[in-house]
Amino acid sequence: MMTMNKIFHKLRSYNKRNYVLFIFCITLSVMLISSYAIMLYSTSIQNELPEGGDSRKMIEMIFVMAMIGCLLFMIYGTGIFLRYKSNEIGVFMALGAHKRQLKKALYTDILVILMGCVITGLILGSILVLFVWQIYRQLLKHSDLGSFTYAVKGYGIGLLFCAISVFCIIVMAMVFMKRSNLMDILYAQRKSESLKLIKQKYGISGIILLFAGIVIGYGGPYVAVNRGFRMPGIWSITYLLSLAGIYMFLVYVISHHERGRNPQKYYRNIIPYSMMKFQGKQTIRNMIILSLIIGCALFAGFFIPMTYAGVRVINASPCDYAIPCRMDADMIGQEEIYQIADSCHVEITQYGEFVFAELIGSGVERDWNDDGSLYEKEYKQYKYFEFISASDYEAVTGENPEIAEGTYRIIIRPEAQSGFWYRYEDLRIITNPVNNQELKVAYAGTAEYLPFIRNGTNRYVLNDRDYAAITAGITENRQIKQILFNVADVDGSYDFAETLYEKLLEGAPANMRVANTYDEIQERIYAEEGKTYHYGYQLVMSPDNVELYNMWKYYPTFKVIYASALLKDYGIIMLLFLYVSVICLAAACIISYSRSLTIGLNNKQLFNDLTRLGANNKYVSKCIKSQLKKIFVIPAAVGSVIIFAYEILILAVNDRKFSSSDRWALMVSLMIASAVYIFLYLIYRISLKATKGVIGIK
Amino acid sequence: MLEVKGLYKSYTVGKMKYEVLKDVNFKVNKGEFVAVMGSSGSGKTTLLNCISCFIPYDKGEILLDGKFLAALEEEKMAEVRNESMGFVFQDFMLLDGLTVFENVCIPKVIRNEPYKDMEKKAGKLLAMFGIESIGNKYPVEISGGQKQRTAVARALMNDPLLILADEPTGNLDSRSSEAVIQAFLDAQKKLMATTFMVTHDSFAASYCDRVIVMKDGNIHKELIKSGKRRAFMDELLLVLRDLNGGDNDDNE
Repeated sequence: MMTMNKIFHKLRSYNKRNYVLFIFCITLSVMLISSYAIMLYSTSIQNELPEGGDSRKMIEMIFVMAMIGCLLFMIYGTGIFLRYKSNEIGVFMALGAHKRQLKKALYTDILVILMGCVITGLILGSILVLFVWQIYRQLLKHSDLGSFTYAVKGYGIGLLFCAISVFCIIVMAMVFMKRSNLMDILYAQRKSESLKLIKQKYGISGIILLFAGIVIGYGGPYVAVNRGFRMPGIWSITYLLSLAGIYMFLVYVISHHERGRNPQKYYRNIIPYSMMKFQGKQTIRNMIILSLIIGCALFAGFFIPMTYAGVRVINASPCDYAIPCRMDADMIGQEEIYQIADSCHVEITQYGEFVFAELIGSGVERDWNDDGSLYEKEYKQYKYFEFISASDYEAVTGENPEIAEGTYRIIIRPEAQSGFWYRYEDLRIITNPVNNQELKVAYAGTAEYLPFIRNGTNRYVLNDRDYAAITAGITENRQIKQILFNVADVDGSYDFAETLYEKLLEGAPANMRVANTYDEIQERIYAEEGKTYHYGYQLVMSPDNVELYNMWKYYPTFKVIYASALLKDYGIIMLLFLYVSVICLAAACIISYSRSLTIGLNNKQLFNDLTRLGANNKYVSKCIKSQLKKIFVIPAAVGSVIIFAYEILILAVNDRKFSSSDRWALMVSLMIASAVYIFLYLIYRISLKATKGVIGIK
Repeated sequence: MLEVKGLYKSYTVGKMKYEVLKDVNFKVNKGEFVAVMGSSGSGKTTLLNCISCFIPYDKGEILLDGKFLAALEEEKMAEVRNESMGFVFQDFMLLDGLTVFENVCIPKVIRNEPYKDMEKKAGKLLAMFGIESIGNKYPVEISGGQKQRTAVARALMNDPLLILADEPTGNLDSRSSEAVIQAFLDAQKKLMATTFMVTHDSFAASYCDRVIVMKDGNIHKELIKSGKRRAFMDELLLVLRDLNGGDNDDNE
C-alpha cells in the first residue's frame, strides 16, 4: 500500500548519495570539533598549557576559526541537501501536498539525521581523542604525559557547537520551507546566480584591499605603539578590508573574461568560464570559505616552525650546562657537580665559573593610559641587573666586546631585538647597592651570548675600569655565580641533568626560590607607592613542578632538559595547532570535493549537449578540469598569500628584522605549504575522477 | 470555469521594472482545450504560473469554478491544486526515485485515498495513454514521450477541473508530441477534461478548440477552430507570421 511515508522512504533510498553527503558533512564536523574541544579542555592538556599567555589565546582564536569554518562547511552541506530536496518538495507542492505535511517530513528527516550525527560525532570524537593522545605521547616521549583525562568542559564546548549547528540548520530548513514561489522551489537547482560584468580595475582594487587590510590591521597598531599611542581593539575591524578584497578579487577571477589580446585563449575557455559565471554567486561564496579555511590551516601549520625556532636556538648554544646561583648560597659547587657526573658516567669536558655583580639599574616603567596614550615614568633605581667586566666576558666567549668607558652592552640572545616595554637604551644610571655609588652610562650596543641569558633578569657588560669602580666594596650577597660546563655526550647526559636539577632544587635557599618576575627594588617601589606587590611568593621546588621552567628566576639551562622542557611546553601547543590545521584542511578538502561534484551534477546536461554538438571526451574533460582547477588553485593561492603576508609581517614587525630563525621558520612554512598543496592536488585528482564519473566520461 | 480578469504582473530586476502581463482578460469553458501562443517574452508562461498560483501577481482576479484563487490560504490552495488542477511541465517533473506507476499515483497518495481506488485509477490512465507496459519502470528508463504521457496521466489522476500544461511538447520529437497531444484529446473526450496549454508548437496548438495569441503581455488575438485542423494550423501560422513581422519559423 502506498502512503506518503512510504514514498518519502523510497525517495530517501533513491537519493541516498545526497543523504550520505549531508550526514558525512555533519558527522565529520561534529567529530573534529568535539574531539578538539575534548582534547583542548581536558585536564591532561590544561595541566600542560601555561596559564594565560599568547599561545593559549592563539590556540583558542584558531579553534574559534576552525569552528566557524566547520559551521560554514555544515551550512554549505545543508544548502546542497536542501537544494536537492527543493525539486522534490516543489513537485509535491505542485501536486497539492500540504506544506505542513512536507514540513513535518523534512524536519523529521533533518532532526533524525542531526541527532544521529551529533551522537555519532561525539562518540567518534571521544575515540579520536584517545588516538591523538597516543600520538602525542609517542612524539613527546620525554614529557611523561600520563593517560588521557576527559573533562566536562570539552564535552560542553562540543555540545555547544552541536547546538549552534543544529540551530543554524533548523533555521535554514525553516527559511527554505517558508518560500512560497513554487517556481523558485521547483527550479532551485537550476537557479542562475550570475555575476554582473566587471572591469579589470575591480580586480586590482580587490588585490589592493586584500593587502591593505593586512597591512593596516597589523601594521597600524605597530606604528601607533611606536608613536606612543595604542589603537583601540575595534581597529581589528580593518581586517575586513581584506575580506572585501578577497571577495572583489574572486568576483574578478570568475566573471572577468574578455576577448582581449589572446582571442584564441578566450574562445578556448569560453565554456568553462561561462559555466562558472552562471553559478557565480555560489562559486564565490564557496571560494571565500575555502580561502579562509585553507588560510587557517596554513596559519595553524606555520605556528609550528615559528615556535620550534626557539628550541633550535637552545640546541645551538655553545654551552651544554649553565647554572646561575647566588654567591652567598651554598647551593652547589664544582666538586659536587663532578661527583654527580661520575656517578652518572658523564664526562665533563670544560668547566668554568664566572661572577656577575648584582647592581641597581635605572629604568622606565611603561603602560597605557585609559585614553590609549603611552604612560612612561623613569626611575633612577628601577631593578636589579647583573653586570660582568669586558675582560671576563672575553674570557668566556673569546670575543672582545669593545666597550668604551661610560658605556655598556646588553647581553642578548642571538639576533634578539629591543622590545617595546623594555628598551636596550633604558639603562642610564647604575648604583652600587652597598655604598650607593653611582655611574652614568650610555648604551653602546648588544653582545650575543646565549649561555648568559637569564630568566627575567637583564645582564650587561661594562668597561673593565667602570666595572672595577662601580663594584668596589660589593659583598657576596650581591654577586651571582654563573657556572658553565660542557659534557662529552650531551644527549646521553639526561639522567645526569635530572639528578643535578634535583640537587639544585634541594639546595636552593629561600632568596633563590623566587619567580622571575620578583625584584627587590620593584618590591620597594611598590611599598613606597602604597601598592600591593604580588610577585614575592615562594615557588614549590619540586622536579614535578612544570612551571619552574617558565617561572623560576634561577632556572638552570641544561641543553638536554631545557630543549625537552621547551618541546614539552610548546610541543602540546604545536600539536594542538597541528590538530586545528588538520581540521581546517579536512574541511577544505571536503568542501572542494563536494563543490566539484556539484559542478558535475549541475552541468551534466550542458556537458551532454556539448557531446551532442560534437565535443569529444577530451574537450569535456578540459572544461571540467578548468573549473575544478579554479576551485582548488585560487582559494589555495589566496589563502597562502594572505597567510604568508601576515607571517612575514609578524616576523618582520616583531623584532624589525629577519633573523636566521625567522628565515628558517619561513622556509619550513614553505615546506608545510608545499605539503598542503600536494595534498590538495591529490584531492583534486580524486575530485576530478569523481566528477567525470558523475558526467559519465572517462 | 476559468476566468481571468484584469491580470497584471511585473518583475523587478535591479532597478528595472518589467511589466510582463498587462490587463489580461479571458475565459475558458468546461471541457475546452485552449492553447496560449506568442513569441518569447510575450508573457504566456507567466500567465500560466499566475493561474496555477505558482507565483503571485500584482493585480486582477483569477477565478476557478467561481473561486478566487488568490484569496485562498496556503493549505486551501494546496487542496485546490490537488483536487481541481493538474499540471504538466515541459521537463516532466517526475520523481526519479519512483516508478511510472508510483508517480501517477502521487496525487491520490497525497489525498490519502484507499489504495484499491488509487491502483484502479492509475491502471486505467496508464492503459488509456498506452503506457501500462512501463508502469514498473523508472523515469530514467523511459523515453521523453513516455515521460510526458506519464505526467499527463498524473495530472488527470484526481479528475481535475483544469489541466495546466507548460510547453508539454517542448522537449519532445514530433512523434512523441503527437502522442502527448493525443493524450490531452483523449482526456478531453473521455473525461471531459479542460486543458489550458502554453505552447510554441503550432502543430500542437492546431488540435485545440481555441488559441489565445499573446503579444507584449496582452492578448493580441483569439482564434477559434471552426473547420479542419490543417486549415486552423494555416490560420495560426499566418497570425504568428504577422506577429513576428513575417519571420515565423514554426512549422510542422
